[in-house]
Amino acid sequence: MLAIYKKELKSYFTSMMGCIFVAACLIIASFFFCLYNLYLGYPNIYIGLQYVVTFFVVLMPVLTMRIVSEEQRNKTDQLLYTVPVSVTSIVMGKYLAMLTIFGIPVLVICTYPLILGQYGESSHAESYLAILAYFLIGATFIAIGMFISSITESQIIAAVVSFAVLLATQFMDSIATLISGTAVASLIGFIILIFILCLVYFLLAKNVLMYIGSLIVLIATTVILFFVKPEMFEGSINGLLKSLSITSMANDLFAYSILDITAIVYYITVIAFFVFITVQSIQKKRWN
Amino acid sequence: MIEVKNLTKKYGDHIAVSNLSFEVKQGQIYGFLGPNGAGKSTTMNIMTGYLSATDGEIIINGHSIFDEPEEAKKHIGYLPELPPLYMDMTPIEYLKFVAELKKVPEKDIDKMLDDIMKTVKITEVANRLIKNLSKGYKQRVGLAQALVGYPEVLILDEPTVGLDPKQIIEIRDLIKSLGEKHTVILSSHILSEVSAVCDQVMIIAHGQLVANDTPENLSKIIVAYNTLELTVKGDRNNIKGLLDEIEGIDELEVHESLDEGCTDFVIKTAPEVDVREEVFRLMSNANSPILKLALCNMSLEDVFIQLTSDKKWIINKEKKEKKKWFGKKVDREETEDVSDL
Repeated sequence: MLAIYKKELKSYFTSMMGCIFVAACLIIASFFFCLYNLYLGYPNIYIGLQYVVTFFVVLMPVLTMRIVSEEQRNKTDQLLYTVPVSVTSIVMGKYLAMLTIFGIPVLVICTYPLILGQYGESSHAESYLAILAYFLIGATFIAIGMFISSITESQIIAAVVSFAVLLATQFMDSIATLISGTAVASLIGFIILIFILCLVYFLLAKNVLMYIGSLIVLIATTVILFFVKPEMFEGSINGLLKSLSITSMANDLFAYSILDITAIVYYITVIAFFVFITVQSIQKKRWN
Repeated sequence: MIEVKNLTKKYGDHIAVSNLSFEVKQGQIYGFLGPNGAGKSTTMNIMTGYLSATDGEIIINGHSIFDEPEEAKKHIGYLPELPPLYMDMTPIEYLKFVAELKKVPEKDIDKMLDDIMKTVKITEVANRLIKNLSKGYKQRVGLAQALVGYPEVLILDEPTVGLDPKQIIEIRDLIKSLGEKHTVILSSHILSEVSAVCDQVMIIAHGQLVANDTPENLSKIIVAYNTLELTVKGDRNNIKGLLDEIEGIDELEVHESLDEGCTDFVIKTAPEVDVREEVFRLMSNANSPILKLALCNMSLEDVFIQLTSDKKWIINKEKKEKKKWFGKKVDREETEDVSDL
């Protein structure tokens, strides 16, 4: 794992990609810090960081697009998967290397509250909580980007798909508020979701029987549940969509400065899930 | 050392490797021979744990590659068809990375890499970027990568492809010298290479093992028939009639000759039958001068072509009966001693 970690870290700086990423992160973060905190005089840095997070949609794919796809394209994965190292530690090494690169601008941002403290009253606890949220959101996006990079051989496709997926998660919150919270709306929403999920499964597994079978079973279960316990459905689709909105889960940490354990557990779970399915998607290639 | 049992690999409906079984013993050089798409690379990829198999088992030094991959992979050094190189590294950086991946103890790394770079002769390019190296040097860096950690088994997939003739000879000599310390399995579709380097040849076609023997034995098996090339001056029909009377001729082909007033014949007989004297006497009696009479043995090359093109044919040493699976016109003029190739 350490060997992969060192190699990835090194390659980020020999290919300039790492430098560009760190520079871009810092320029954007310091711009908003100057604007909101130094110029307009807000005492907490969360306002600026919230805007920076929207730029992650573009920044994170730059960091993650080549991480696994390039190995597959250059066939260097033949080296990685034939040495006595498990796929999990290879993926972990890569993930930690990206996290380290992302950690550099976060460390620099950690000095901002100290600067702010020089000019007046500012709660360090609130500021560092915001930075923690900022870091967790970034780490989650990196895990998602890594997974997308592992399903394709092309960096460009990886970048575009990551961008689209991250953008979609940003909009989930607003979509959730647009949908009415009635039970019927939820039912329709769930049926559409089941269709989409089964279609994705079908595209991956190419098994018509399993597709139709799981479709019927899942829809039947949902409809039966709807008639037995309609109150369960009220507002549930909105809740589901909200939980897909990765940035809005940090609202408590960010805006209200509450040490929200649920949110922290949520991020760690999502990261673990995407690291896990990255390993699975690499393993699956061996079985094709 | 390595045991492959009933290995099968399917890509959807396409069967790449079908029920392949063989054993590899320590300290020998094995050659995997087959045309493109025969399943050589797939088999090697499965043996090294890069791909999984649909069915079957591979045991390396007592460890199954599927159940204990990390333990089994420790004994293998693999050079894939395309050397897995990172273009933005220098050979020394790259080999250090590989050494760390293979968990070579920190204190041994420098000395080991030094030795390996001397062995494959890349010391002088050690600090240049890999992307700037020539194909031959890239191949050597790939080979060096396989050698890191000194695994007992080296699996080399077409190690000489794309090299110039001088480099090919160098790499072959290198592989031969490696064979003294390691068990080597190399694949190739070039026959002379395999028979020059290997102690044991496995011919594989359509995902199946069609022959597994030493190059010398393979060339003995092949003499399952004799071919005579004959050029005679005289009336064609008359000569053909005479030749038809000779007993023991399985097949007689008639061709137009380049010489005026002559006819070329290709006579095929069983290996134990020699009709040369009889042909001479008959032609002499008929006053038709023989301009050429040559006995052609099949070379390893011909066998290879036959074995790999005919799917159903699987070599059987006991079967000495005449087989008419030689559709190809034999155009080799000289008898070739295959073992010297």
